[in-house]
Amino acid sequence: MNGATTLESIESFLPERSVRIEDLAGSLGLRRAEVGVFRKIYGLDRLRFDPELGLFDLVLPAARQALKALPQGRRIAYVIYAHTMQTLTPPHLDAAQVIRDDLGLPDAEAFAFTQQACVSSLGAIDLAGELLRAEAPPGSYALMVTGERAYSPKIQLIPNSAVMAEAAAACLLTVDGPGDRVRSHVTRTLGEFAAGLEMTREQSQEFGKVYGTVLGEVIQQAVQEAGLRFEEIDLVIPHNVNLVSWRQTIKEMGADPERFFLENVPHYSHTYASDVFVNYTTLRERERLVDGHHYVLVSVGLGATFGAMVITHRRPTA
Amino acid sequence: MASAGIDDVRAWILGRHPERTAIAADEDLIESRLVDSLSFVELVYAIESASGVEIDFDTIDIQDFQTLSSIEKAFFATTPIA
Repeated sequence: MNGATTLESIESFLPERSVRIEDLAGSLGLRRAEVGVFRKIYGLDRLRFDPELGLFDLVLPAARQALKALPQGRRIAYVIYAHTMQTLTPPHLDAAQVIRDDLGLPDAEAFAFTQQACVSSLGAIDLAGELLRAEAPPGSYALMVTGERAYSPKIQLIPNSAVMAEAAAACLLTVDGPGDRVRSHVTRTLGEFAAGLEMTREQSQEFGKVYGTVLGEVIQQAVQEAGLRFEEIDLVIPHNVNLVSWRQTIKEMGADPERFFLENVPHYSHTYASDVFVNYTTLRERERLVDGHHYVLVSVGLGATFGAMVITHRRPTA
Repeated sequence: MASAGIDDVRAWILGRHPERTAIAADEDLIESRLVDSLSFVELVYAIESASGVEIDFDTIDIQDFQTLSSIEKAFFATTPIA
């Protein structure tokens, strides 16, 4: 079966509790100058973080909302839980299957997708599309969900890069539906940075050196494979890692900074694999997504995978 | 004439980049990667050590760290010339 992957419903959820990064200085062991650099150089300020909220309370609201768009009589064939940290639950719990069961979808295949870290959500959409085309009955749907807790300072602070925050998202997708059409998906994995959070100072420095160049190339390649020129892209909808690395990337690309939606960075910070969907829903609520216009969803996962997906927005008809 | 403080900051940056012998006052330190994400915090401490004053982050912006000239203007403007 051929046909394009289409995104039929994208929803996001943010815990209500909002803190400033200086409120986390104690638990993260940040010195005064580090907080200052995160705030004024990296552009971080507030983020959502609620240690009282359970994992499934975080993940399920957006998933339930996205499922409302499933047409009557249609079936969810796959529930894919995309997350960054490989272990989110005790070993006796398979989080993807708990999510599937809580959503009342016992017939769906449920599994996790994590190897691309914070860009796993784009990879999961690509994989879901491939599975729907390859083996699911025509007219089937898939549900990709994200959302994970910053459950330890060790995974909340990426030294010199980011302070991780909490959010969740869900994307209902199918093949050749009326929703946003996926035109291309490109990833590049640089295995030399596989140590991720455990990288040495030299590896981190090298990663910083190549980051902007590689990310720019991946974005341009995705645009090219979508049959478009970058000038035809309405907005890049990025991850919220920090403003410095985006400035570097934009400079490397020689692109117009206005084309990059960075307004959520000081409000939400980097929410693992959820950023691009949180940003997408912000833009939709502000009516900044235009029917027929093209957008690039972009993120980077430690480990290190760079990913970009070009979509054409299609506004649902009433 | 540059203040002694900014000379200390210049020397600190050059000390981390043995391949360089000079830095122009208007050279972009971030774009040229003379200061990268791993060294921002250390740059802050180098500036504080040279100026003898803690940086008030509520009153500064990323532009204040962009070049040696902007660092001098933001953090050493009132330092008496040695």
